[in-house]
Amino acid sequence: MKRRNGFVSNSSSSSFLCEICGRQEVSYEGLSEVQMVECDNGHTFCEYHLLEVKKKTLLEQYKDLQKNGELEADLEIEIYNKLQGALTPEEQEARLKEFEGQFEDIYADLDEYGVSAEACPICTLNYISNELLLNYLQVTNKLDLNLIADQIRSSYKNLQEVEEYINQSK
Amino acid sequence: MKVRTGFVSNSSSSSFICEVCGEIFSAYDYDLSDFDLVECEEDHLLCSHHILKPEGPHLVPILTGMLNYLIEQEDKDIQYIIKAIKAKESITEYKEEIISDYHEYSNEKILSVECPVCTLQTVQPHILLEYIEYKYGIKRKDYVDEIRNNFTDLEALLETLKGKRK
Repeated sequence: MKRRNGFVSNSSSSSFLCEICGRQEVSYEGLSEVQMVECDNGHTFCEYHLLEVKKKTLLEQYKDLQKNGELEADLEIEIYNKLQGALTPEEQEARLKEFEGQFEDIYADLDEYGVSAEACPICTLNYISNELLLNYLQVTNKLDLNLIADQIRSSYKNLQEVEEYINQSK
Repeated sequence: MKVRTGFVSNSSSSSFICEVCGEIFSAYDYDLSDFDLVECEEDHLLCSHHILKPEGPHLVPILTGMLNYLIEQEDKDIQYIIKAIKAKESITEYKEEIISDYHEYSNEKILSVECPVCTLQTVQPHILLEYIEYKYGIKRKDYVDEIRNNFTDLEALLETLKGKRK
């Protein structure tokens, strides 16, 4: 993600931008100091977003294990049953906490500087940015974004007017 | 504009992002004025070189905005301009005076008419998307679901988009 290093003279700070929520931080130490991670494909985001995906990934992994008949260890069965019985994400989270520290093998690749693409919300399409969605609409619906931007400019005097128009739908 | 300061304990870091080009400026113990950034009346943050100049198609709206600002300040020094305009003289004839007076009296924020975001010279992605959603009846959720159902990951999606563009 865009970073500007050492902008201020005599400074070796780097700035980091979460590509999901837009949080911006400055750090001399690196990503871990500001509770962010970077995936294999260079996406930078808050650790918090990673955790959300980790839980989902974990549950999916356990489902696959059961499907393939590979779920043999007592602990795994116990965890899986507990997760299956938890209906809401909050309940799942609470139950996962009971087993915190026992998922080292799964978490091993989620190192702060090298999160695997499978755990990245951007790579896995758990998070789809406005830019990506526009890109998709442009190609699939043959939308000419420049033309639409021109249409906005010619129909409205300023941003406030466009926002008023858009807000009618809300 | 999203600016989060002091997130790290014992730190006074600040970072600013230009809403036109997306460049990030950041450092410890610095504020906006230390960078080549300006803020508009509507709180959009941008690099100073993006400020719209009072020229060409921007001339009249920018001069009008500056003049309105000066009128709101109830500054006696600009009464001569107001009289001239009331006498139906063109505002552009007073370009130099208006710009000079404006810079003398204005605060640090630039006018909306000088801001590429407010004037729609730059149409931000979220505005463009919301406009398309409303204007063309496109539902974001439907397309997000479509993407997730048809593509396993970002790489596969980008590959397909690239292929269709050719």
